[in-house]
Amino acid sequence: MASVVPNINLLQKTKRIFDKHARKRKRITSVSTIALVIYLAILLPIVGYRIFLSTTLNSIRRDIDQKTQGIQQQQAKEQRQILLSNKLTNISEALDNRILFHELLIEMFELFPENASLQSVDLNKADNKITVSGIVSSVFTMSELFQSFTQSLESNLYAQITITSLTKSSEGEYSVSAEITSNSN
Amino acid sequence: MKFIESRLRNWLVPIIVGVVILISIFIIGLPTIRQTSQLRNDVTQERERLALLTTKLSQLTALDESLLQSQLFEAEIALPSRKPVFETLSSLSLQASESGVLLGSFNFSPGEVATQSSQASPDTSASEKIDPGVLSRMPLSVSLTGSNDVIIRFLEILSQSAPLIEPIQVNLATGTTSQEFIEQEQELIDPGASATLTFDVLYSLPPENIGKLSDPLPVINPQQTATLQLIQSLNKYSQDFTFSNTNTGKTNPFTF
Repeated sequence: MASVVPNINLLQKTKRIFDKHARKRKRITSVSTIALVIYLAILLPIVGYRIFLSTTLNSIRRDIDQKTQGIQQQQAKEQRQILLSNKLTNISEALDNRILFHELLIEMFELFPENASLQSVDLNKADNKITVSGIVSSVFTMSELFQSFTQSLESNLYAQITITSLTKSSEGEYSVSAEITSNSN
Repeated sequence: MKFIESRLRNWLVPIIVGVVILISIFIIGLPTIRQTSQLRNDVTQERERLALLTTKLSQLTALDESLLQSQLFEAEIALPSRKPVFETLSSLSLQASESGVLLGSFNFSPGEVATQSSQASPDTSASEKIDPGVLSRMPLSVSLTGSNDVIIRFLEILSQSAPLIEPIQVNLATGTTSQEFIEQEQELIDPGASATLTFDVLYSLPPENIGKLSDPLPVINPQQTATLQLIQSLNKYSQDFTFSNTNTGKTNPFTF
């Protein structure tokens, strides 16, 4: 006949308190460990990334040094290129602002009809003005000259033409002076 | 007492962990984050610099030295790096004989003559100081005689010649007087004309420096290529040009 031994614990309350404390300690330790692990999990990649960046930076700087040396070896070429570019820019600027006076002179001669003669031309770039004076043999030629002026204005060759003087000599010749404002620029 | 000891033992680990984390944050964490951020900026900047240098080096390597030299030679003839006093005078007389015009008097004010090409006199006035790399002008006035046609031809030759000049003013007296006008009408003769021509002889001192190493290399753009082709087609009346390797601009460009 089997004997039944009852499970008797005389310190049951103390054991429960003990267990509760042990569990609490374990939980606190676990939480601390997890906090430490989380902290390290954040810190270590940052440190690793910093090391990676530092290595990368050193590598880039080595490349920069190499390229710098390469450029310094070709400094004479660079200097020539800069000088060429600067000169070409200045030449472009000069050519863009240049007025071809020989073309203007030809235009002035062409402005005067057959029986009229150009006596003097003053071309001045600064005030953009051309002053002309000429001799005309008759009133008919004068009319042709004025027509020529009008046509050049209509075709927008010049901005403005002002007749500054018109005289008739005792020989019967007409002298005419005009100020022409150029359309250019 | 025992209870307090037991409680302290319970909190010992978290307290140690907390203290370690706190100290580590200030000693390792925050400086590492700061350094990492700084390093990231540095890496970005250095990468950009490296890209610029790589591009510049490849551009420099691709440049044809002899072609560059010949292009610079052409540009230097068209726009000299020093006041082209003798070049202008010799080219003017050659252009005059080519066009058939008779050169009369001329008025040239080239400015101060320096004993050393690289140093300007301290007495040089502000107006005479020339900026390196900038288009500079030297005024010259010439009187001419010849027929109207040859004077026009002379101006045309002048506009197609190097060193470059820029006409400022032309006063042309065609030589036609009232009496001659009547004769001209009858005989169709070209009366003798005279002209006074004022122009600027152009030059530019070399740029003072070539800039920073990481500055991009200037690329010759299409407009500059067109300019280059144009100056190659100019008539050259003087070619005694030697390229100086100095990268310092001269404040007073005379070398004679």
